Amino acid sequence: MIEIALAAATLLFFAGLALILLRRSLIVWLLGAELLFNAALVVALAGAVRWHSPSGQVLALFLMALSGAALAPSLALLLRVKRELGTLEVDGLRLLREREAQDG
Amino acid sequence: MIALGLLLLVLLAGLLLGVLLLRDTLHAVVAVAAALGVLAILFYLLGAPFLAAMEILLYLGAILVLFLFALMLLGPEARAASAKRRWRHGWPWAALVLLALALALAALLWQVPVIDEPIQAITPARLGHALFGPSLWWSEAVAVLLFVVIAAVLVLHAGEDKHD
Repeated sequence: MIEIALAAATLLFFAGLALILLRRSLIVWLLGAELLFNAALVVALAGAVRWHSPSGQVLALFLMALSGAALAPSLALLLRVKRELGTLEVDGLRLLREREAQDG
Repeated sequence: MIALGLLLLVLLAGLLLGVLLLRDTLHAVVAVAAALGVLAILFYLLGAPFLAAMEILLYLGAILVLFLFALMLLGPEARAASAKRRWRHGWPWAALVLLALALALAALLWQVPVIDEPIQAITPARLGHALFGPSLWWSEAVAVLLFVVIAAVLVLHAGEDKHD
């Protein structure tokens, strides 16, 4: 069962990374970040099974709270980005580079 | 038990592939919700009934609903992505890196020795004793963090109002 949990964590990690690296929309990025958090969670639970200790589950619970805490300001920033810059595409968010080119 | 685990793994793989390929972001969010539901069953099998319940309450009930709210506020542009605008510039290189990573992870996973530990369910009572015993200050730290997050979101939102 531990091997299956580790395989599930691998799948989640890979899917999260693929969403972040391949897709263009910022909101899909955040979805990928949630999948990465879930991969870490599954590994913590596998550790709890392996060593018969509740510490792994405590860690998983903290990770859940952390991912929720990370998501809320990210979504607020997302709405802000859409309002200020008018786009949600990662390739469009290159203001720093363009400012630098103008100055130089 | 192993057969059920393998079935869950196949389901999870299919749903995650769907998340990557679906064109409509709303559909992708729903596919993630289904994948997290599958994950909750896996948590229960791993002897974590409290975490399985929290996965459904927190992730499906709160976090994915937040995503749906954000999609609603962002409007139709955030949902639909034409085939051309779905992938990033230079995505074949990223796909190559991902492929290499997949091979490395598969090779690592192949070497995991079979650990035949019997699964003892950790009851919510035992988890509570751990949470409010040795990890009490960590729990408090998480509570403070959540409070800070509320303040941060309020500040971000207040700045938005001033801008108008």
